[in-house]
Amino acid sequence: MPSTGPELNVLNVVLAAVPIAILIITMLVSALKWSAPKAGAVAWLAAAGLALLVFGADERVLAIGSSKGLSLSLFVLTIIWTSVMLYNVIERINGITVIGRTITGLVRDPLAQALVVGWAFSGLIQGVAGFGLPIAVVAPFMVMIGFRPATAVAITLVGHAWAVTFGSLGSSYYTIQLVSGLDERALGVQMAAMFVLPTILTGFAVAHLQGGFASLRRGAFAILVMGAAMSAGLWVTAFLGAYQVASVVGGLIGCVVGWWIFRLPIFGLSGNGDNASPSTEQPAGKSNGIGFHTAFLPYYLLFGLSLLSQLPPVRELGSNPYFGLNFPPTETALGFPVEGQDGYAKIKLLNHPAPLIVASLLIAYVVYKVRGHWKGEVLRPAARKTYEQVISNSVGVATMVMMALVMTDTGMTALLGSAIAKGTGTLFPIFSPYIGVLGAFMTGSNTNSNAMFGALQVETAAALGIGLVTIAATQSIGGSLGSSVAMSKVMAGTAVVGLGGREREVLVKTIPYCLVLVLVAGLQAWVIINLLGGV
Amino acid sequence: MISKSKVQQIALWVMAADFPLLYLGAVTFDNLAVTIIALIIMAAAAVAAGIAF
Repeated sequence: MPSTGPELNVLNVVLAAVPIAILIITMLVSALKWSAPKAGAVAWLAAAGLALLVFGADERVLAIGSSKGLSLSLFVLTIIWTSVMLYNVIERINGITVIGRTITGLVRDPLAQALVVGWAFSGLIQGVAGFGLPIAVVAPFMVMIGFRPATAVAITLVGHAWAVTFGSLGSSYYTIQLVSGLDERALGVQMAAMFVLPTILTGFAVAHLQGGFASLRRGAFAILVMGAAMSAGLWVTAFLGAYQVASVVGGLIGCVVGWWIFRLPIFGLSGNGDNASPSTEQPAGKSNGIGFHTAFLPYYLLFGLSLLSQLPPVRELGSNPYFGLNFPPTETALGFPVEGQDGYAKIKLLNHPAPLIVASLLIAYVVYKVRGHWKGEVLRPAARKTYEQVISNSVGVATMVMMALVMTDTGMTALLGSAIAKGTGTLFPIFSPYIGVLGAFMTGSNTNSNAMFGALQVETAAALGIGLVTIAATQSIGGSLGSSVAMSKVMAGTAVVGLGGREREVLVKTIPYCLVLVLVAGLQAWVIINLLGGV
Repeated sequence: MISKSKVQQIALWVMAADFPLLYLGAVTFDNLAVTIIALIIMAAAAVAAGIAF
């Protein structure tokens, strides 16, 4: 619990919750249906007003918090801008049609597509690169193969959530380990074991999103087999101490097992077209002279460059040229301190998705030009369309992340976390992952959520005399599953599929799954601590 | 009459342009006047966004 900063009382907690309540109520209540930028702008104004009037911020604290928010927004927005541009360029050269027809020809069953692409493959991408890339790549890819845009984004958001903690080369895992100070192996192995249930359940959630209870029943056995294989891959990799590639291994195994299992006729999920939608009946092959592999080239390149960027020498080489601002320490009048940070939200030349997407696009441009696919005007109309698509999301991300950082730097977020921790008592393990969700919802990052709340969770567990490792793992699992409702990720998804300003359509789909999955994670923690004597 | 779409774009560009001012005022120069001006501009852009989106 914070020993400094705003006092923990009902009025302060209610006031600290106001900006988040504005976001949730205005966007989700059907009578209002505000767009993300409108809700974000009002929520930032509310957070700024409360910070100045109630939580002891001065104009410098407010400006620094807002600047940090804009820095973090730039980190996210560069991924959105470049991935939307990439999609629009491929569309201009007729590549989207070719990709959609070919993939649906290979795996025609929509349930198989949802599970293999939206669950296993998105987890694989999260493992390789993370930082929102699974949403930026997989959501439009699912639209290409025939899914409705809001469903495609929702499936990707829920589908990749199992892979976040051990994704991005284990950045979230290492963060919770560092802030909690717990033994690396004890935490990693137990957390990987505790991810088994959430991993399998995200598969069921994806199936339900795709086709309701009919898909749940039809896909149950396949989901259990895939989920068990993915979880086993994740756990064994963590057991071997290779936490940074645990999600990569799990995702890869899921893709292979999924591709294999849906070809077994005994499951009634054959990929031969029994359930194919009318749009998939068109022949696969070429459109206007472009073949599948050529059309898909930028995504091949992106995957290859992402892998290459993780090799230690390349990683070291690409880490130095970066954009990231330095921020001094701050303290509110109520004594809430924030440490100074150098190179905040770094955009590294070779370790951030945006430069990799641009490099993929440039290489693909050369190939398309040589092969004669780059005919007439491509770049200018694609850029114009991209600009029109990203205006709403850019304002939405900027205002919401500014709100989140103002709340963080003035102690409002820590106060909310403390209130949950103190108010729940022996039921704390059940509510613990919701604190992780809160952090991910606000900052769009499991890593930031762990940095924000990891110490608080462990301190609370120590005060209650319950399992520190279990609670630390539960915090990160909550942050991971909370990625399915993280606003910046939701907005990245709506931008790339052309649903900018209609985030509500995605959120109403993902929130129920997130709440249920997190409740299961909380109950799991309670059982481990109270019935199994978990540490 | 300025269109809603134009106001949306203006809100975005004003926020983008105000970012360096906000940082310079609060961090680089640590100047109260510049910081307050930058915050007022950001608030105005947020109000415009709240109306236009």
